[in-house]
Amino acid sequence: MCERKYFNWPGRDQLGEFAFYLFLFAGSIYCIVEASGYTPQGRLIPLIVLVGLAVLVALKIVGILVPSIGARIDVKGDLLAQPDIDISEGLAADDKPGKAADKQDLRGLKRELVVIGWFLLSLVLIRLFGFVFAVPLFLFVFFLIYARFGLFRSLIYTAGFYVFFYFVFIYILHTRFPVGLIF
Amino acid sequence: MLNAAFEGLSLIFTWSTFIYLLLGTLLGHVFGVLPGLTGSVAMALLIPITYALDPIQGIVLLSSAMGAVTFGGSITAILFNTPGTPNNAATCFDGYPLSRQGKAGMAIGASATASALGAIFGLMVTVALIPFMRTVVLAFAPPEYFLVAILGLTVISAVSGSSFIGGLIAGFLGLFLSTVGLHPIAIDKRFVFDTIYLWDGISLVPALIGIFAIAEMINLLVNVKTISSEGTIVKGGIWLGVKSVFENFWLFIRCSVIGVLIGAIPGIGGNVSNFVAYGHAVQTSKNGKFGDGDIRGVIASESANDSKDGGALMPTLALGIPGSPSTAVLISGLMIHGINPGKELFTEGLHIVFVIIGTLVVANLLTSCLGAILGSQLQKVTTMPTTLIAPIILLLTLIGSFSVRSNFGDVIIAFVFGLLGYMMLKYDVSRVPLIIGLVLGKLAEQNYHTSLQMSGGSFSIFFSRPISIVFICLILIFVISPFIKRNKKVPSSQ
Repeated sequence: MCERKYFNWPGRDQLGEFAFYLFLFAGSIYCIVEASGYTPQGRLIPLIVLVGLAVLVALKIVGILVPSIGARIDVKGDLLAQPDIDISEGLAADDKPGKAADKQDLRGLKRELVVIGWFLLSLVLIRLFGFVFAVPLFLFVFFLIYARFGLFRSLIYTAGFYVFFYFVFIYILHTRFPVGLIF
Repeated sequence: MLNAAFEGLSLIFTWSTFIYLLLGTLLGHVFGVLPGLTGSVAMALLIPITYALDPIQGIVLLSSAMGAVTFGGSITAILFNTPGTPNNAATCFDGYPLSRQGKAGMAIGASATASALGAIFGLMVTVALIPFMRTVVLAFAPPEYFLVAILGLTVISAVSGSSFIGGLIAGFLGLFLSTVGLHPIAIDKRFVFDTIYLWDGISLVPALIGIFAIAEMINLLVNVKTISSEGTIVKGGIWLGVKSVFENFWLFIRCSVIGVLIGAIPGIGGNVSNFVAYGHAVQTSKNGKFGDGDIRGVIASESANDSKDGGALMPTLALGIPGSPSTAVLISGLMIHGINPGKELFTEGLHIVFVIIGTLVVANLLTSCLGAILGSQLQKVTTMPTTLIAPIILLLTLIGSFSVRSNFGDVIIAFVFGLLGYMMLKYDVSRVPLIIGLVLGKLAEQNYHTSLQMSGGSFSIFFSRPISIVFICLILIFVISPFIKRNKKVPSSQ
């Protein structure tokens, strides 16, 4: 049996969630201040919504810090009482990816950051080179380095998608994709 | 009227016209599948082609594309959690979990059947209401629009997932995000932070793409090897899906009625009908795992989604007021060919109304058959490695986000919402309420202020109109029924 504490400073597995709600709370307070400068008609709905949001997020934060209160105010309040999930089971076991990812070690966190980094790279490439060049470039590099498909398979998959992309969006739809910052 | 119906249908089934029906259906299906490309985009692209065609052929081409798009969008919603059009958003809630369980075929089968039958139901109601269309459509005004939006928002508590407070947070966040941009009546530029892009508010399509598709692709790459958890698929699923619609036929009828009613209200359309129908299914079910792969969620969303096209035709054809973006383009197409919606269309051009209705029926049947036939092959995608699927879907979503308005800001919005969606997924906060809040918030706020302007600031306008009272009763039923159900369950479980 695990011993219950009244006050629970979030550990590594809860720190991300705690930071997420803290960010939401700070954001809603900032927006309340911002909204107070609008005309009465303009601020009515935002203020009602933002105050509600801030209160709910505060409750969630309290629920994380004081698990006994969290258990009372939310269905899933008592995070300490959640069963541990083995990372090797992945999502297949639970379909709640966050929990699995949250409980995993630094390797899991690194994988998360790497994936987000790749996604960010796609955005950066599109901005720098424009869609027409960035799309095949990103896809080829991703298949080659992240997916490790090998040179030939990566080329085939990239070429296949590029033909589809070119045919649908450029040939049929005549979408005018912007050029990138570099070319 | 029977003569006009016969004349209209005989015009469709000539070879020279039917070929355009097939072409429009195929294009609509492809556009529906591609995230970000909506029915209105497909139809707008087809309009220049119709210049060179006979008016009937042009109308058939446009109407068939309009009919086919809706079901096409449900395929990617089911397979990749990526709604092909915003109207398919609610299909993701249970369609994708079914794919994760290897039951994508079942979900596609149910979606195809509910879509085809829903569309036919909606169009039958439209035909039946032709004599009363004008009265029905003009009965709706801002107070009713406001109450419809509130009715949709009552769904939030039902779709909050395992964390009730988390769901409410998402709903409030969605409502807040809907207030970004220029105020509909006052002069305030709200929460734009000196960014011109935000003046128009947060665009729904990239937000939807980000929160569902990009978040899901991050999640797939981080945690999963294949979309189908077991890496296998359930055989014979398509027919199970088809059967499930008939097993839940009463639910299908109710949700189709919701679709027709909401579709008939100009300016609300499909974005709302699928959420309201889904919420209705959740709140009226005695058991089930909505959000975890309940086939009734797919049936509810898709039947309402397709029946709304019939409803949307009422204001479009009777008054020339488009009920949805697609019908707005349809009106343009009609007018290009010298056909003006209104009284004249229902007297001298009644056969054209039946051409449109007949085309929509055939296009829906064809696209659903196509989906059902291809469904068993399409579901194999869920067993492919995520390292192959995820980057392709990511790029398609970014390209789709850009293509809607040719604005790079939309790509950034999709990406930001993707990160937000992943955080929500990770910390077990349901993403559904956020989208409901985002869709309905603006509608509610705008019509709230307009209603008060109409009444000179008196709230009695919301309680003094017959249709408003009906909506208030529905809202009360939606809010109270979960508590009554819970109280009934407690003694029985004890």
